[in-house]
Amino acid sequence: MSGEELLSEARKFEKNLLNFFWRQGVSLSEGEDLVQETYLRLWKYRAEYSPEAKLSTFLLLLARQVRIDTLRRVARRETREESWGREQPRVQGPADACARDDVRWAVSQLTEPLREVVELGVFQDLPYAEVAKVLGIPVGTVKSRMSNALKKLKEMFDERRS
Amino acid sequence: MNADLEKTLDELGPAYRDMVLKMKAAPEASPVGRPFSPFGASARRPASGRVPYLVAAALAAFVALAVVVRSAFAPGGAGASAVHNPYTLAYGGMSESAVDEMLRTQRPDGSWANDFITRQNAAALRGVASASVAYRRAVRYLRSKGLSPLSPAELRERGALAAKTLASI
Repeated sequence: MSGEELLSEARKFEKNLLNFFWRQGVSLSEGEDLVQETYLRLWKYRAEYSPEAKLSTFLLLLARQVRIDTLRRVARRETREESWGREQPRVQGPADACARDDVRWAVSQLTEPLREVVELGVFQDLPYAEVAKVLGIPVGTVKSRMSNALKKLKEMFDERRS
Repeated sequence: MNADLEKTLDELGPAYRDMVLKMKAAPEASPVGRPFSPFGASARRPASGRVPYLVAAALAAFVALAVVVRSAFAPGGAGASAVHNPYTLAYGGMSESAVDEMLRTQRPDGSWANDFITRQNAAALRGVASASVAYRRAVRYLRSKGLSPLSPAELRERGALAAKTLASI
């Protein structure tokens, strides 16, 4: 598959990628930038993609890395600005961003490892083996994290309802 | 729902299945219609700001003709300069086709699809003699919003994709 074909195939997952970022509390416009960044990475690492693998899995792997890099970049900038003694503007966290949206809010309350498993296994509908590949963890861990995450989510929904 | 998740839900009970179905049915974000291009070539614009279809088509035909004619006379023969991937250009370095693409897709107010792309494109056009007007328009737009083009350091930071990638094309 040529690079161009790969990119055009990858564009079919635009909405999946946008939602991947959006459900982690990223705003829509920032999410679009991150999707774009994911496609840039796909172009950069296209040689590492083997057509036998699922493209959606490869894209989510890149998207996850983009998200991690963005968080690190933001953290570095904040540390730098703090060291200059600037007053920090309040950064909008996922909980703030999702306050009016039950599902987004609840998912944002999970710890990062649980949130990732829910995002990939529930919303992106990847089989556990693919989730394990993206996260670099054993399939058994995916399974136990999924159970824990769903239990926590149920508790949250039940609490909110009561 | 995939078989693995089904199995987990079977173990957890029907209440969990309902919960997951509701979660999956929750509203999702939709792309605003901009296919992702560093230049924002096809960004959705408000209907009131759209160029009438025929004018846009004529303009596109003219630009396509210009590109074909130019590439025919370019060193290396027909089509030699048309081989590029827009995803690499704003980061890796500037080629003439990248500049053309940016000039073609710049909005009348000097912006592109969004502020980030405008900052990126303005930075890329800095110092390109044939795009000085577009550069100034972009900078004026950015200033009006309290922004500036990406700095060389920011470009470098985002564009590890630099010359290496270009060289591999």
